[in-house]
Amino acid sequence: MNYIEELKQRLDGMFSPEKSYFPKDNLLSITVSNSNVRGALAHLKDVEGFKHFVMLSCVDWLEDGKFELVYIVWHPEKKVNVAVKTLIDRENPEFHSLHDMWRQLCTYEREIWEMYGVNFIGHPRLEEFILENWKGMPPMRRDFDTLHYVNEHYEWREGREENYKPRDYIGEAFDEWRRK
Amino acid sequence: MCTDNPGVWEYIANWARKHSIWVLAYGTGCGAIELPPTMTSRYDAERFGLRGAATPRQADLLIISGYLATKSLKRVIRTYEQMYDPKYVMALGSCTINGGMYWDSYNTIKKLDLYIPVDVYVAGCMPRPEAIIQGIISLQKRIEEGKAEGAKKYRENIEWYKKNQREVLGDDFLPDYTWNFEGGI
Repeated sequence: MNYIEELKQRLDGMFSPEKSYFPKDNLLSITVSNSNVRGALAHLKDVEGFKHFVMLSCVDWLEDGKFELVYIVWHPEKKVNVAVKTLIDRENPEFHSLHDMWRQLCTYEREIWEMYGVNFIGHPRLEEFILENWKGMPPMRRDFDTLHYVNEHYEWREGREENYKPRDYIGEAFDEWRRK
Repeated sequence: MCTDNPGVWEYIANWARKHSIWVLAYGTGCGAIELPPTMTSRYDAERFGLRGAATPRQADLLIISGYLATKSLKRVIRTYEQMYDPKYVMALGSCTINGGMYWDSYNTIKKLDLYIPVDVYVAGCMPRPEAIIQGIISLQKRIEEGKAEGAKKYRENIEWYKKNQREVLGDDFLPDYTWNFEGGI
């Protein structure tokens, strides 16, 4: 049994994840409950030696009414990634900030707050980051209608509606070229 | 530039302007990748009198290389207003023409000429260095004929341009002193 499988067994015993599997050879994904995220990350960082924080991202599961936060950490000696995932409610998205564990989480949490509207409690600086003057729904949510937004805010250049499919437009010349 | 009745000095000045275009390549999009090969030895744009300028104050030509997010549009407008007359704008790529592949993006503008006057559009996604050089040559023709009058157009239609800019940039707008100083812009 290699290192990552032993690690999976240890984590399964300690944090009783809803789901744990290997998406790739050197990546272990565990889905834990909200209250176990800090414990799992602290265990990985301080006991197992996953010193490097790779990234935090957010997945919008619109149909289930959930946001999924994905914390990925990396073990520099064993060359193993672990993704700690957790599901939070989509209606009133809130989670506790973990910026005290890795400082770069400040930036990731700020971006997710801006792009998905997840409120990170205890974050020191939840303010405008990439967007300027944004009002309304955060733009990376899946129910944000970009085309509707564009029709409201920008002007189209005329002629855009006359786009042809290259296949129809070129027609016979293309067929002839294919035959050669 | 008095183009209604261009005198011989205006003709000479335009001829000189045509042969020394200093470029401010504001790298907003992927077109910034096409400019180094245009400038370096293979395509060697310096034979047309093109060379890079360090600051907007020294530049004649502003190259908008690709898509413009609303956030960088604000910086582009400010850069454009800092440049001295005569000044020209070249817009590279289909994104500046009609939005290109970002046609339904929430933060990319669709028509550049609503916000600043554009002298030359270069179509393509992305245009190759040959296309950029072709654009430079047609810009040179326009300069020689005295048709590259973007700055004059901007000055005369400032209300219209500012209205369009304000619509897309919102309340957090450029301060007045970037354009409204004594003696007009």
